[in-house]
Amino acid sequence: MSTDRKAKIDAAKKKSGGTGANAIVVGGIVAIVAVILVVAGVIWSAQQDKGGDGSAPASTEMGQPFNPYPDAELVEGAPTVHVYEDFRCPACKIFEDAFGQSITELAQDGKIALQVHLKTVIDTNFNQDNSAIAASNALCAADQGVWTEYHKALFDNQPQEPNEFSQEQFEQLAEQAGLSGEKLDAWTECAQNETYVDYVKSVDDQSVKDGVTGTPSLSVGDTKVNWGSFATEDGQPDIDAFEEVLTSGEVPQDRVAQQ
Amino acid sequence: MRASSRVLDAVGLLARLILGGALLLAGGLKVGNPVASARAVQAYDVLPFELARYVGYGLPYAEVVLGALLVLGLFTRVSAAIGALLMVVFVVGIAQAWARGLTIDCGCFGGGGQVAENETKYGREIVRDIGFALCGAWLLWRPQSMLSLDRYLLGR
Repeated sequence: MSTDRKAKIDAAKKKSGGTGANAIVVGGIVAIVAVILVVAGVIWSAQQDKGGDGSAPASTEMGQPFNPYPDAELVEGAPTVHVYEDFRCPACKIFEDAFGQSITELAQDGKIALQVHLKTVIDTNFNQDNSAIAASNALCAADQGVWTEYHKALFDNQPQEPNEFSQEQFEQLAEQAGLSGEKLDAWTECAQNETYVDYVKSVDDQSVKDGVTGTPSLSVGDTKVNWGSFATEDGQPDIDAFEEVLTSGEVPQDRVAQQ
Repeated sequence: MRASSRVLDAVGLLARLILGGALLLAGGLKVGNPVASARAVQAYDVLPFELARYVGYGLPYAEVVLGALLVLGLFTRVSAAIGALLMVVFVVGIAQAWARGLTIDCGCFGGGGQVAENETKYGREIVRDIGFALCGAWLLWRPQSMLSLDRYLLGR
């Protein structure tokens, strides 16, 4: 049996004209196919993930955060507060429900300089683009002067992860946010063109580069805040303590987020 | 003599299927989602940001190709060497993340990126990848195996 098998193998070797040349040809083909496949994969991936050259909102630049209240008159020494959020992230909804109103009022009153970084964490996790579209639509709403209302409406109607906002929902919420007539038309055009989707993706990219991968994330100045530390013992948000930290710009050591 | 070489060939087949199957699965699960794959590599915080992005783009395809070659048993020794090397690189990457106190998912089979501190699985991930690397090491030492294209196509 053993010699039988050996004979067969030898016969096969002869038939293919020895082993050397054959292996080199096959190896060459395999190597070329492998390289083409990987290179094509990288090119396709880059195409899928391309930043694009869409525009940023007028008040900011690609990769840079957005200030929803540029007209607020800042009090002297108002700290800069960075909020990183994704309209479809469940923890962001908890954060918004607890502190959203506080942040909005402080920013409108000029007690903090608010910088919003719109991220797309849920898109990345589930290979979708609905977070980016929601954020783009919110910026379209900001163009029409209803950022606060639309921002809140999106969080109030957040679909359960990983479900998406529907087109009808986006439009309905725009009306609910108070848009009508020409302003609604302008919002609709802005939304349909996915005007700020590329900008939102560029912000997500920049924030990852800066080390902020998760949402929601809150920083006062350069200090990352553990916002969960503002829950009181009965699970309610401690708004007074929260506002004290934001407006003073000083984060006590026990409220600094790890890392 | 014959019986023992058969056993060794069977072990070779098993090593090929384990390492090749893992690579095929790991690559296949990541192929459709380039953004997540890029983010997973960036989360290790080792390579420059833009380079990490392209490694993230290419890695799933390289894994699929390597995995397919191993499962088919074509150029087993070279494929196993690259596969084992890849696993060693993964182990080093995970170990440095662990040592530096990062809290990330390895992103080996999709997923990846930052996770909560109590959700890291560094130890398990490292042991698993060392296991895969050992499969590669076996094939590097003895690439002959059952049911391989090396044997049927190239008469090795």
